[in-house]
Amino acid sequence: MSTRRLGITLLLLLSAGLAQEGKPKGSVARTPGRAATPDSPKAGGEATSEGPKPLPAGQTRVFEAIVIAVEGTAQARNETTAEGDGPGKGKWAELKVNDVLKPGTVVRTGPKAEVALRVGMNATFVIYRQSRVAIPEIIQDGEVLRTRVNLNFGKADVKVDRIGLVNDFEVATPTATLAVRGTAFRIWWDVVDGFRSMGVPHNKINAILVKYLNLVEAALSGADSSSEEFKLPALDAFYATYILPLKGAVDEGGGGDGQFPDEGQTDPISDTGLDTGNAGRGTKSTGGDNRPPGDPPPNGQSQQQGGKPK
Amino acid sequence: MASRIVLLCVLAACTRTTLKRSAVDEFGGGDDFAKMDFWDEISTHRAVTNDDALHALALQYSLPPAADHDGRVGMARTRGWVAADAELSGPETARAGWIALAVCRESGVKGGLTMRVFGPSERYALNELNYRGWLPGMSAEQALSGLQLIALLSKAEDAASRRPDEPREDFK
Repeated sequence: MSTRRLGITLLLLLSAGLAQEGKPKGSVARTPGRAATPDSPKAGGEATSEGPKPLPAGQTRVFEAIVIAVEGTAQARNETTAEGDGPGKGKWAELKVNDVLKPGTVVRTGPKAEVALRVGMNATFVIYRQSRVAIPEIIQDGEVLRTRVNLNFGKADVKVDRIGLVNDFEVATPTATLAVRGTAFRIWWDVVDGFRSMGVPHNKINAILVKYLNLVEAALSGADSSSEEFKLPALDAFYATYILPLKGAVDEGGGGDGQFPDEGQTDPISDTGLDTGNAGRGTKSTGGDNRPPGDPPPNGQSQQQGGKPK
Repeated sequence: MASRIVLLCVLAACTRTTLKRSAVDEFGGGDDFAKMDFWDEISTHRAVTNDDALHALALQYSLPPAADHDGRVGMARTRGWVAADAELSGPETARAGWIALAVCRESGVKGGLTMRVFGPSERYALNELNYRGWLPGMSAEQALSGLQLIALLSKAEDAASRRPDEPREDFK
């Protein structure tokens, strides 16, 4: 199995390079949570070039946060679970890249520590040394992406992207609350100076995202919920969502030499709709699905998976 | 009678507060969870004890944490945080003066002209940290709360890390 995985990984990396070379003009590299731009072409199938859609009124969808970078000692626990130390408090756990944090999680960092989180569909968060941050709510409610973050003390960078939905992002400190529509800033709170904020260097956050994308997330397409065959959510999403669209491209008239997708159709990096920051787990998108070949499509979904438009 | 009461009040005001327990007694372990629990615990304390402050400084500056009070005081003497013959009672509240001196020494804060000419001392170190806004308006005998200590150490770390987007201090 491991040899197969290695082979598949190499195949994908190679196909990514080839597809990148043959990418049509106007296509854009997409980061998680970024809506499709008007000039971005439709990717393989019906899946990927559509941005996030509003939910019907009254419906909500809960998102998670994924750890995309860690340096130093950073720990987290969920305060809504009733296991571990006491009622309503889980056990502290060391954070590592690709950990998935549910709403209600509290993150604490030690000296010289940094941890970067992709929060829901639209936000990136960098938590610095000696900070305590709680994320009680990450949901989509209709067309509103609602996120609540409590900075008890410490320092953090926040970058909220505009992705086509309404951002309702609030950062609360003990003395002030910031409401964000779509910008980036750095925020401090300590007992000496109280609340402070300033504009944030976008490049640093972008660099963290790009590094993570290059390592892992470029392989995570916006696809159906994963099979959870692998415990690591990123790998889970990777193997559950990536292989079959390629197979589909071959089996369902995708043409080519049987190994690589056709030009401009299933570019694994730029055209497959990196959807959310939570590695595809528990989210529903319209990407290439992971049904076994021959299974009927769910809910009337088109069977076309990355093949040539017919 | 009134004079005795006044005298008693003056004497009582000159003694330092002694706390019932230090966070390091419970969270003095060497693993990461114990260290983080220690920071969490002192963040809730209205005043930090000498033992807690010594342990916090050891953690902040990646020094090997001592197992007991004598070891902590020995470390403080060795590194010049306190005088060689100084006595620090473990459960007493820590003085801002020696903490300021320790932070200046460990973070490489050289201070102004007087501190450079006469060498670091509690008085000059505290004046320097007053000036920098790390311990604004504090005197050497005051106690620090847990959050004040964490804020002080965080500011020292920010300045020492020389991040390009932070205001710079010159440590030369």
